Amino acid sequence: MRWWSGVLILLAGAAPAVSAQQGNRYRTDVPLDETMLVEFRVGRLAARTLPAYRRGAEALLPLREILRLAEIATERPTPTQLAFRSVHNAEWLVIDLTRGVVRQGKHERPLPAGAAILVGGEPYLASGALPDLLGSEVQVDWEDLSITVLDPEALPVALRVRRDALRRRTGAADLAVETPLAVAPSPAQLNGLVLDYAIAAPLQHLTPQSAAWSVGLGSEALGGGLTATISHGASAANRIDASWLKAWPDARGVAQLALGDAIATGPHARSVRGFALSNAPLSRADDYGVLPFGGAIAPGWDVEAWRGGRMVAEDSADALGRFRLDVPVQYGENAVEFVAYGPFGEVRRFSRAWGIHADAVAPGQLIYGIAGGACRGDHCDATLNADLRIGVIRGWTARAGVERFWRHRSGDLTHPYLALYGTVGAGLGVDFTAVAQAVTQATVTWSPTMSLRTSLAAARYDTSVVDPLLTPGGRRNQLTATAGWRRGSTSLDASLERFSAGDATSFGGRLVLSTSLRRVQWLASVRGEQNRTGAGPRNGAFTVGLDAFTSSIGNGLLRRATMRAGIDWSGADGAQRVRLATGLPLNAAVRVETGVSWRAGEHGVRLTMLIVGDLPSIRSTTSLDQGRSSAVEQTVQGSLLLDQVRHRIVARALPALSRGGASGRACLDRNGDGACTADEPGVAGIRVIASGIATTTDAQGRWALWDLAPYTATRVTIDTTSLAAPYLVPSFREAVIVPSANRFQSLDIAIAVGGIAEGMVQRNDSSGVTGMLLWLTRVGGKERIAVRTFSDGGFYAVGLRPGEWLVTPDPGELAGLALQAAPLSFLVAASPDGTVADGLRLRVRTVAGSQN
Amino acid sequence: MTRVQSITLLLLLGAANAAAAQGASIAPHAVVIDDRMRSSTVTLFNPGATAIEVTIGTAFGYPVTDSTGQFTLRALDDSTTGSAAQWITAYPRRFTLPPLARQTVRLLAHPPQDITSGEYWARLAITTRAASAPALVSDTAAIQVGLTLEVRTLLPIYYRKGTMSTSLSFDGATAARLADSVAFRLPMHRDGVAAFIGQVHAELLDSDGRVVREGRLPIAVYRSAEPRLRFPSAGLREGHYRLRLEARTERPDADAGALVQAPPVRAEFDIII
Repeated sequence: MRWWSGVLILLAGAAPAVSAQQGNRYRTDVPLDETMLVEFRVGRLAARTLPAYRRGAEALLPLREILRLAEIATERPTPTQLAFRSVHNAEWLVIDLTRGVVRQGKHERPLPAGAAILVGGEPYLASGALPDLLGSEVQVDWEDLSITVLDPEALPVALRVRRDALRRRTGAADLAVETPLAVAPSPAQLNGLVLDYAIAAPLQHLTPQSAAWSVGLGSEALGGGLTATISHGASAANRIDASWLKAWPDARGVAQLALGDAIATGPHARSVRGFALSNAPLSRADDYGVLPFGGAIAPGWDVEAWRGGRMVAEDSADALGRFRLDVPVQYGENAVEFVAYGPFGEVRRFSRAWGIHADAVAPGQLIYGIAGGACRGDHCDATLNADLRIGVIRGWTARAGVERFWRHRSGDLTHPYLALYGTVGAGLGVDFTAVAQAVTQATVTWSPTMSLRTSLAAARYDTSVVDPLLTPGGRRNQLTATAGWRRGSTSLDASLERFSAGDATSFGGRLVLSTSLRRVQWLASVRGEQNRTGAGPRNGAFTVGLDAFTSSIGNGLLRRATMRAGIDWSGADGAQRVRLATGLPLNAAVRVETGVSWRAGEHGVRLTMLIVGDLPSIRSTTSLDQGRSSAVEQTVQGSLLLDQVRHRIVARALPALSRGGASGRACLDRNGDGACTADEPGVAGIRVIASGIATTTDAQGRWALWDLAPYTATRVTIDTTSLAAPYLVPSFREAVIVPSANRFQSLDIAIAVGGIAEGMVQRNDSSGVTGMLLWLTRVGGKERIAVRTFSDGGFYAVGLRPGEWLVTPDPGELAGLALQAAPLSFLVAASPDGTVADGLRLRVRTVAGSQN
Repeated sequence: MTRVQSITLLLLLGAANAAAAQGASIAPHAVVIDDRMRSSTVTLFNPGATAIEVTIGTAFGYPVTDSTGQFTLRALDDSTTGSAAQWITAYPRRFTLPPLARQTVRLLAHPPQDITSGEYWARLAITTRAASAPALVSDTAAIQVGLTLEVRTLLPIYYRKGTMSTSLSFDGATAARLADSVAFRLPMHRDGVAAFIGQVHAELLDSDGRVVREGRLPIAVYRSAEPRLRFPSAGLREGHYRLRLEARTERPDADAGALVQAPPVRAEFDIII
């Protein structure tokens, strides 16, 4: 390439003349071999032709141009100084050419002799000094006349390119958009069968009366989940619960109805034997909506919001430096990190936290709930709740309703209530609740950063109520303050609480420090409380605790063994409790836990041992407790499911009542009808995923998934990489089912042997049309695939179902190019090894009268 | 600046920028396909700031030594015995890889029913070039001149059926004194059913049995080879020497899984320099 460097020099004019600067000792004593133009490359990200000087094996390069190319901000404090942000720590670095030093804060280090010169007022730096400044090796290739920054990952230009690519990907529509297959539930009057069981029995004195057990039976009836459970306690009467629950996910009027033993609506959850209905979906979505966040930074800056490792919003500052983002938030705590990027690689980070109340509703939305029936205890005879929630504005919800209790012993109670909760900007949350004849309370939470959270809650209780049900008896007022700070594996939590009950006052506090040192998690706590009744003396207690936990205590078998040790120490009475426990998994299914503890006031130590067997079909626990007396107890629990789709009984270790499932068969779709018939062979090894639960089809192609949320739209996806070949096309890549409770939803996967299409889009002169959007549509089917042509006008699509297909250029793009074309038809024949429809030619021609 | 000079300059700058914008990171560097699985994957990553177009194909060829003893890739007809190029297919065969994006390419093998046990070879040819932007408007006023370069990468594919075995036989050694060095030619051939990929550790011993030169030579012997090993001649007197060779199936630059392991092969030859 040396020959053209001369051309470049000629074309670009003479290289800058070297002008000596008074007092610049780094110019005058360093001879320069020659001047030239070189190609300066920042990895593969950017390149520019720059004037340079050669001195031996080194090149002297214009530093400001290099920093500009790397998108690093520069300043000129004086004509012989150049300041810029360090790529290592973002602090300002100053190259002082007069003194021949690099200064960072108060620290100075000398530049190598001759490493920097001043030419025509511009600072030039030797290539040998660049790695230290740019954080990367720099390769000088005199054959190629190129100088390359080999690893530019830390440079602002690389970060900017990465951000741009991420934004493009975030905003880019997937060309191969495919609507998920909507699967309607199969109608049935009575379907599915689920049996939950649990037995706990003392092995030493085993009698029918000494065992505690529970059996639950569930099915689907009239489109809802029918559940009945009978529980027998060793020292309590049998309890029977029965309920029928149905939900309508897309309905507006009534979205869920429960009859029988149900959970009451409203803010005070309790069991009722009656009914509960609401227009709230049975499973609430995680996303609440968006909240505005604005601020001011400087013109030209970009601001991104990140939550959970994903960029959720972005904005660019306007001419006044103002920005505004609509930040998507979810119910619960939302820790959002904001990253602001300046035009020259500056980066600023800050964070905010939003807390969204679990019962908040979106603006304009109205949620009601009504529940009533007999009380499931002796505290009341009957109860009723009517509840209304309204999303007032973004982030704010108003709630009103009434709780009613009928009691024959201590009088009826009626509690109208009103509540308002929401956020005041980022990090500040307010919750105000007033319940007549119960409590008036206000809570303020403040989270200025992701790592700090504080709250203050005050409550005043109504003391005139006899035997209150919604508040602690006798409680008059309460004040609670909490603060939590977290960084990495270290956290500090503190709380103070003061309450009055009757004529007694209690004041307590707690401070807990948790940190990880040498693979051991340490938990140190200090707790104290002081109580006073009437004018009596104050009495208090002060306890210090220390706990340590490690998830690995050795090598080999002990590598997965856990250990926990702890001690509690009372300021007045000394040691109160000492404990040591270990857990050792013997294999994937069996775990042994042993413990020894001592408690003040008890004789001797207490030894415990727990053997837990977690098999896929059953869970067994054997516990041994050796203290003053010894006890051995055996617990067994699990569930049995009737898979009516596959005609088999499935045993599980976990409870299964009131959950849903999906099952079916994956088959080779020989007749191409998109369904599985009995004579079509099963396909093994297909991975099916729903709600984060995955399974693989067995040798007969059968699959089943359980533990899905019932009456909730659930996506079932096929892991297409588990298909034996990319030209195998499943009848759906993604399906949406709404599982019913206590039964499997049928869903077959018909896999067709598809094909590949390869061709060209050409003009009349046989030149290819670059970058054109094409639509491939299956005749008589719903499949529609988008592809773009390559540089040579070629196109390629894989995974086309057998049948006749049409290739059509996108009408908008065709019109933009003043071209017209007729659709091209081709056939993908059914073949065991896939079909390649190649050599396709889609001709486009210029619209008459256009200048193309 | 004349019009010709301007176009020359644009061409040169365009070439430089295009070269900087192309290329993909590919992993792994060698693909092994087992006859039982009959599939494998290759992952491509675009580390650049612009999208690239990727075209993937298969070809047949393997390293041989040329007349100077240098290893070079010999492209052969697909129908040659031992070729897997005809029945290994990449999916997708063409695609566009956006900046910082990743694409998994699946390789499927459909070998003939009657192939015998052994190792079959192919080369995966991955061609990348800068993707052109979609032509959304018809604008003949904005003429751009540039040069797009293609980067072609060839990866070895080993399709293995049955039990693999390999070994190496040294067929002798000759020495020739050059101006500043002594060059040894080491004819060798591979035994067993798989290629012998590894390195040769060579020691030159003088008549007193002292090691006077030592070196390593990476080798890939698919059938036979005659690589050249050079030692500096400074200080080497004419006379009788002994060349001690040891070949091992170990290569620091290759995935261990891609190498068929074999016991070390040793040989010694008397050399007159």
